[in-house]
Amino acid sequence: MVNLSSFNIYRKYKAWRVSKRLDRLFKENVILGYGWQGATPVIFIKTNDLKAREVVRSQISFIQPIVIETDEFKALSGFFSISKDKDQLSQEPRHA
Amino acid sequence: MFTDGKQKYLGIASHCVVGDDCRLAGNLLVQPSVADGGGKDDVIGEVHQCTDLTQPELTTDFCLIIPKVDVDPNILGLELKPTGKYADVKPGMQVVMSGRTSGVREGTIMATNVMVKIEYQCGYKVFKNGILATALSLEGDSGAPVIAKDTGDYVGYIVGGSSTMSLIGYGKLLEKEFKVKPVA
Repeated sequence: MVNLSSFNIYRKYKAWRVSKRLDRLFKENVILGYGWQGATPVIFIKTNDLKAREVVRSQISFIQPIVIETDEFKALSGFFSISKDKDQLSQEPRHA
Repeated sequence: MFTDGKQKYLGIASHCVVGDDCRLAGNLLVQPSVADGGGKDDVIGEVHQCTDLTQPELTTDFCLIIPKVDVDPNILGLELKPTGKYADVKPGMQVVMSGRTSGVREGTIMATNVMVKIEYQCGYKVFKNGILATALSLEGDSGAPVIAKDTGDYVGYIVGGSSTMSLIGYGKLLEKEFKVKPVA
């Protein structure tokens, strides 16, 4: 019979351990980032980054993450005006 | 729209009002922009408080604007009425956005408590506690409100994204960092 209390402690330990690894891989620029679907990690790696794919497979696979390949994240730009003086409005498109 | 109980504010993304050094570029907001045909008679508000984007790590990218014109609190193109509540965001949740470029678009929350490296005009930053959704947004949609499709609660605002995903700033963090709530 499974001891539920021990099982929950083990699950929390496993999540903590995977968080530490993901933090490290993020700081080392191996992965673009990560998030969570409940207790399942969602890992973002660059499209066709074979090295990142292999590192994730070898180091994170024990918790069966969702791996998403994508390009880099950028703040979106657009058209917006901001000025210190309403008689001298910027003609430049602002990030928006 | 947002309120701290005394004043009503418009909410936009902070990177809308900063220069290439990520410092505040001015305090008057013009809508539509000069590029969209706006001019000096189209000042709609004044900057009140913004996330400091010169920091290397961010949990918000948001700015409160004191409106100088009458503002309709309803969201353009959406039949859902603002509820005045922040949504509890969960993966799989269906959301809807109304943006300047994309108009109304629907998507699905893919991940919460997200940490990503994101490129700003002044370089890369680490964005923490974000939300990732399927691609909702395009250039020009930053700051656009994202709403829970089933309840109308406020999920957050568009910050950026990749070609396949949209990064959303988590609405609930505004209560802590800006002491505001959405207006019903």
